[in-house]
Amino acid sequence: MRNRDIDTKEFVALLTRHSRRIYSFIRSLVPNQTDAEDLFQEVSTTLWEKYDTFCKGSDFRAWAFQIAHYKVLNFRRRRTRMPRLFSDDLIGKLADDRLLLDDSLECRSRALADCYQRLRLEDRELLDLRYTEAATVPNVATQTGRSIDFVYKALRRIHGELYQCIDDAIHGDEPK
Amino acid sequence: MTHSTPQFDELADLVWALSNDRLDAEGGASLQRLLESDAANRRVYLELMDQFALLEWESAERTVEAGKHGDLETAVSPLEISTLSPLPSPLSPLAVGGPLFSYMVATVVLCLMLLGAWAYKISHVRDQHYVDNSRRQTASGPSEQPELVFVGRITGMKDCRWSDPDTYTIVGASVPLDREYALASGLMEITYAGGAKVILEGPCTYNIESSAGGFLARGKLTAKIRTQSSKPKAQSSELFAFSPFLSPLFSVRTPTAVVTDLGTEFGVEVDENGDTTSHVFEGKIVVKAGIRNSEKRPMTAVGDTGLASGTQRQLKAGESIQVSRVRAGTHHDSAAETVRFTHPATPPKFVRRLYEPPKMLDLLDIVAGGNGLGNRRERGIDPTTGMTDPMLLVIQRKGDGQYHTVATNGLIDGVFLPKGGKHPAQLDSSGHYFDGFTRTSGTSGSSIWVRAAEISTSDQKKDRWQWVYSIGRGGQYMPDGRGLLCIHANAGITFDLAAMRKLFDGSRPARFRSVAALADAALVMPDKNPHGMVDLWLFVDGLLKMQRQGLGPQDKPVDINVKLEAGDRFLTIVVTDFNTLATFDWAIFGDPVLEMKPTDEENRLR
Repeated sequence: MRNRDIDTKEFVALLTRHSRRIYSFIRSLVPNQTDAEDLFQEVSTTLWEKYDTFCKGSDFRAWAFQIAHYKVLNFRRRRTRMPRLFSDDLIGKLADDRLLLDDSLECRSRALADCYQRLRLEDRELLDLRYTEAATVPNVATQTGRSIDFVYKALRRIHGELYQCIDDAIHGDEPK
Repeated sequence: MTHSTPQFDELADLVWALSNDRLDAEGGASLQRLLESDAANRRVYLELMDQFALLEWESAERTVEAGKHGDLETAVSPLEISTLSPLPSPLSPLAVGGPLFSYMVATVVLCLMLLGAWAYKISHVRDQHYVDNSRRQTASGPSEQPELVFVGRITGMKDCRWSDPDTYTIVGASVPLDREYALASGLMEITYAGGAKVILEGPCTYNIESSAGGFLARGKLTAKIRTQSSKPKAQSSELFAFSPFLSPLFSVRTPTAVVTDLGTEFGVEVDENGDTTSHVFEGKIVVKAGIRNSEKRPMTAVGDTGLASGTQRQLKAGESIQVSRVRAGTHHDSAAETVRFTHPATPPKFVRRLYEPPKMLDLLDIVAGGNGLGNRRERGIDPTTGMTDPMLLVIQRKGDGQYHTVATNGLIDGVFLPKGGKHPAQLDSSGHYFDGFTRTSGTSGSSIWVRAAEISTSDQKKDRWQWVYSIGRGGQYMPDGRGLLCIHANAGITFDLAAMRKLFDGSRPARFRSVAALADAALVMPDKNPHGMVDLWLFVDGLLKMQRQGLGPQDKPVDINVKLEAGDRFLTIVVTDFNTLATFDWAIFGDPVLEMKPTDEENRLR
């Protein structure tokens, strides 16, 4: 029988290390942010409940992704009344690809910090406002006194610039 | 596929629409097709979604930080994007087992979220927004662009429309020197780093000329400058020590005058001719005539009667003056400018605040994580740690004798578990102690919990140990139907009144009101022969303001009505067990609110 105290410490350390990646994994399969956040809580709880079955020394992240994948599928089955955007087959492909890409995405996330700094001040501020609690595009539009369409397109452009900057950075090009 | 191809653009558009819940059925089908057909498309999709996820994650961490600071500015501070690998966190082992297992799991998850926020934290750009103004003249960096110097932030906007359609700004945005704000309509508040607040009232055009003022070309503004009593002199000196504009006095220039603050609140209006009308609400100002771009020409000033007079006037509270240009100057340097001082019969009306200050703050909303204006419920705080309890935990938790600050809400100073007897309890972060609590069991029976007014029948019957629900609706304790603050002995919670005054400028907590009672456990579990009884204590800045000893379930509810003074800093509510047995000590506070009072009148009389 395992020592529960030690297990708890180890689990906390592992989940702390991988929680952001787990959230990203869920987010890639569940387009709605609120749903993804709820599922992340659910997955974290299940990981803890099933931690006894986790084989120490194996890949915690892969194990967590597997559980998260099943949770996403269950979630989609529960939401029978809502239209499913992607087929289960596509969800499976995305989950597989996501696992394979995880190291690459980790590199991208490191580059994001630098690219965020390279954005124009106004763009950074708009992005900041969008990613505050419950700040949707319409909310941002209200606060900035601009139209929803303006904010929507501006944020789309900013994300495009971030994406390009990250691409340049990880491929060794000097970001513009 | 590269990001310059039309296919990338189509895919990125679809993913962006998807993440904003704006993807229609046709778009959904297109996205499905693109992702199924090509692994490269799936890669781009996953990279974009990861980008969104990272920003959302950082935002969640920032929200925790905002709650910790408890102010609005932090809530809109820049994103902090981590580049560090997180470290394992030294969390204490959690007791696991029994029927409380699932609750403990939730606590673990919550700990993880909070620890994650801590572990990922890096130093960042937040402090760069108030920079040393002395660097202003060092023009170019690697990008060959002049360095921006920020002198304040935008701290409020209401219905703003801009004269230039390409303008956009947001609450929380930094305000750089030389920035011009041309407001077609609406209100915008700028808070300078030195503490001065300026409310622009559209239509108006205002240029940030210095770290202590600006140029009002047209329209109206109201300026409020901190007085010396609320702003230490040393701090002021330090601020201006690195300002390129060394005048320590805040001033507003207009086409015809310079209005200089002498510690006050005043309004300035510039009409279409450039004529300037100033009005003082509090304190004093000096209005000096001065025609813009004509500083080298001689100036003559005349008073109401047309007779020559000095070129400046000092005004005190309630006074107004208009400076108008009598004769436009010529291009000859020797030509004199003439201005006229007149006292308007009716001063212009000015907007003195963007939002009406609240009349009441809901303490339930605050304990549940809000700012007192909302209706948050069904959340709690662990009285032994100050951490959020996302679900009600009915367990005996032992205190460590320490005072714990509440990191998630700046309006709550902290919580504690009074041991009583020989152990004085710290009541607030100022270090007030109280040694008069009778000896307690040293444990607390549940979360400090905010319960909604309306609860479902199933909640009431689900688990009788979930006492905040099993006691029933409890309508008699909440005449306003707001809800219940449920505190099981032994626990104390301290609210930060000063933080509330800061957050809601223009008003202050003036009275604490609630209805306190002990819920009758005998109605819920008569088989247990419950014997709950508590002592209630209320403190303000460590001074005992109200006490009710031996409150039992059969006693009449206690009406709490405690007056709060303008300078009071902390309000502390404590529940202790009466008989050293912290069982069935189910204290409830119905409709707990802080009545707010406007401070304008008090400030004027001070």
